[in-house]
Amino acid sequence: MFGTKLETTASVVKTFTRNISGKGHVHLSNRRVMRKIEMGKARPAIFYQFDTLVELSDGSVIRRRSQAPKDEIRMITDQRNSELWNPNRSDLFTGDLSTGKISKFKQRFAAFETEPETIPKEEVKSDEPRAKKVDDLIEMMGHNAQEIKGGVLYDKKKNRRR
Amino acid sequence: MRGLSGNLSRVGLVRAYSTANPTVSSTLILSRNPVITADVPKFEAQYYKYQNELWRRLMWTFPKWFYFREGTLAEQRFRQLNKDPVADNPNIEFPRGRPQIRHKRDRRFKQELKLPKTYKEADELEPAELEQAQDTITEDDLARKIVPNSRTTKADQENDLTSLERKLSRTLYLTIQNGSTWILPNFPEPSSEQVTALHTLAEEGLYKIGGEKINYFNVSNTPCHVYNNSKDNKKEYFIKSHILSGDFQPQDKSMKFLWLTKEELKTHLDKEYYQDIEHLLSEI
Repeated sequence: MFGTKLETTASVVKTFTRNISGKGHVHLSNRRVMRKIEMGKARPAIFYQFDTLVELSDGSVIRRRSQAPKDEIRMITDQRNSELWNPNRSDLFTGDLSTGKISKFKQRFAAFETEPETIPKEEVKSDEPRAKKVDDLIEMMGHNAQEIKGGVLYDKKKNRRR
Repeated sequence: MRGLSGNLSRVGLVRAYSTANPTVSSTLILSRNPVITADVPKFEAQYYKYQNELWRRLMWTFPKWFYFREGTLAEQRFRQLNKDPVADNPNIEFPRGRPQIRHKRDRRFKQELKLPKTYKEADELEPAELEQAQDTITEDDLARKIVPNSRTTKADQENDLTSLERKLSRTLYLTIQNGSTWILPNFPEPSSEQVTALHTLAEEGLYKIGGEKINYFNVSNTPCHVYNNSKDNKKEYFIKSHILSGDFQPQDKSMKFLWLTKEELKTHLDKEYYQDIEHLLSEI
């Protein structure tokens, strides 16, 4: 009872002093109360998980949980027969399996593949870091962009006088 | 009394070292890391089983509508394997409790689903088919059943201590026989004038006794431990490394070697020697 009374008086005072909400003055509804967590509702979301057996390419089997409805997965290429992970092995199959997305893409659009342009060695030798930087920039600008050599720096003051 | 004996032992140590400079040697702790997951003790296994069952019970209903679109073959196969539960009927009395069906699942129990297989189980086949199936199933068949490999190997059954394929769930350490005692392979510095780095000393020694068909990973060039061998007047520096592939093939036929776990090392090594290096060895 008292609480409500006090609140009303306070609001009345407020309206007298300043009836426009000022900068940084935020009106939050005092009815926003944190929702009470009910009994049995405090559980995290556990999606349905299958017990999955994954057979790696070398024949070892790993048991894991998975949400996808597959309980047996057989890997054709994985870390056990990848050259990247087995630098010391020479008996690995390095041919094209053409199973992945990238190899499929390459198969489809092989005709459009352009050979990367070879940069003449002499040019690179002279002033190498700068040349490389310029090359990168031109590459970013597009296919037919050409480097402009020479010219004068743009002068603001001079330009204004004209 | 205590102080006196301490003093005496200190005097003894000083004497032992004052005779001659100890030779520096490098001891190789060559370990084979576990290949499979650690064995779980019975109590822990029970605990994990309980937790797993709790997890399964709290799992939400499988969103069949998300993974299988209605009217597809996959959905039909899935539906054939997983029949709908008994529906709730208000006119019927259920002696074992009224089913609470949500999304075709009885919420009172955990959900158990079967998935279509790429092969047929042995009990699904007719006897005539069974023979045929055994003929057709090959090693290269991608649709064959996935069976977890055995945790024990042939070497375990034969108790072959020299095999690298024993005790897959444990770390194994290479031990060699030195006279009548078993030690970790130790290689003394050839001469005091020309000094070799400890890790190269260990590597050269290993290749000399075990052949070059070992691919190993040296953890650090810095030794992890030093053992003062007062009997041979030696300082043994320990170099840690892991065998990655290949095999230890003794170059000298008379040399005996074993791949042992920590517990087995305790029975094979000298008591004092083992106590000194015990902390370097892995429990798993």
